[in-house]
Amino acid sequence: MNDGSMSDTALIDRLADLGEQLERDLVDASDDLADAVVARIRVEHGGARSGLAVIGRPARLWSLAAAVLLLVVVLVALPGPRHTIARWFGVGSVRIEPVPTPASPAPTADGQAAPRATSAPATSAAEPDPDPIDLGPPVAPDDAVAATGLPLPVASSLGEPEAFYVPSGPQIVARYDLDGRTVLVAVLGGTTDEPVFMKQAGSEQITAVDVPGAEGESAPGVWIDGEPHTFGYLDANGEPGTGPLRLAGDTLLWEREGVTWRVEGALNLAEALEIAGSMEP
Amino acid sequence: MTYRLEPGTTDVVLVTRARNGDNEAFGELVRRHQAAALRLAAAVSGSTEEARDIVQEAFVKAYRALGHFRGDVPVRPWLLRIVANEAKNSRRGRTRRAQREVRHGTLAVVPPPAPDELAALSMDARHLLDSLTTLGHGDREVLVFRYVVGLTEAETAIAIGTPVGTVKSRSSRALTRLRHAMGVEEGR
Repeated sequence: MNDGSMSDTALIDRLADLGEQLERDLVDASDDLADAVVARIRVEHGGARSGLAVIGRPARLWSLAAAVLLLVVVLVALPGPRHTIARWFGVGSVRIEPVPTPASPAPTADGQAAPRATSAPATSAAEPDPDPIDLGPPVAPDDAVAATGLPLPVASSLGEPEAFYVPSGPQIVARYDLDGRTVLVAVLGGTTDEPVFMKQAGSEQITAVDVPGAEGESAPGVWIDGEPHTFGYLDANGEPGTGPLRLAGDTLLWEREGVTWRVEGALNLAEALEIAGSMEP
Repeated sequence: MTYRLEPGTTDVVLVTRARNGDNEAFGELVRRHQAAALRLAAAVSGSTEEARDIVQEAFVKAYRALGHFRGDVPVRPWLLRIVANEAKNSRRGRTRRAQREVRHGTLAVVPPPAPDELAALSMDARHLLDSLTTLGHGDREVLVFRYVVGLTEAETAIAIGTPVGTVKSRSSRALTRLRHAMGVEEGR
């Protein structure tokens, strides 16, 4: 560019030189790139032996099929056309789509009962909740952080977590026991502009709330309760992805400093807010 | 971490092992191609800061997509195609975010990458990278695959999904447009 003209060959040399400079700048800092990729693969795919059998285990396949079946049942029960969802809004990386609420609640709903935070809802309502969500294998806290780059979701009011998980999608889930109730506390990756998760819930189930932080400051969030609502993944184009879709129980969701947090379990709003208030920002 | 390999183990062998659950074989594949992937991610996204995240994300996606790898093309351009898509989406997301902030009045214009982010590059290289990012996506992509990453014409053709002849003609046109973007004339 110095003399105002350049041959193709000179320009090609410059492009190659740009590549070398970029590589020099980046490769030194990337010694552990392969290790980080392998760590993520391990937590997402449950260790070496399972290989690529993402839904290869019969139980997992069955529960996915059951969740999809129940979703279809719920959708068929909804009045009006389903494909005319007019709007959605986001809380952090979660896109929330209000859908028409069922005309009459399903018989399993009793408001306070443990939510069907389960991927096997086709089982009898009289049966105790099975292990509610297929979270994959437990993961060491350090591995979870290394694999996702997210902070650990820790709620001090719940004591020690039983285990951490890294289900598909950028997220870490901590499982707690609260007087016999399972509470899942999660941190989710992604941003408002590029949501990676989606929830569909009846508009009447969604309440805007202020979520207090550990230092008294509040953050905007939503509380979704009542009927189990669907929770799934979005692909890179913001379309519903092909990942597992499940039914989630009562959920408090909020964003603080660019990170999305979620508390889910058989909780009332006051309990969920107390848990949220005990979490590190 | 080292992965014991017989000499001459090809990429396709590593892919086969990874498909059968050998995660370390996939790690070796990452090591083999990460330098090219980082060049590509930085040049397509225009950001060295994001390149590492882009590449990590792309390789994880590539692992998930191993079942779709047909084995009738070389592994390298197939992997790099996934990296390029991820970089393109990242760039698009960054622009969308900035445009939204401009609309909301919190930013005056869509900003270029922060100066310190590109501090390790020479002035000429930064100017070249800036000029590349003003090109249309097709032009930028062919120049980056072919010259910044250094793929052969045949590999570039696989990576961008066109016949080799198209790579030749498209690169030639893209070089001309790049010269215009840089404000220089064709010389000898």
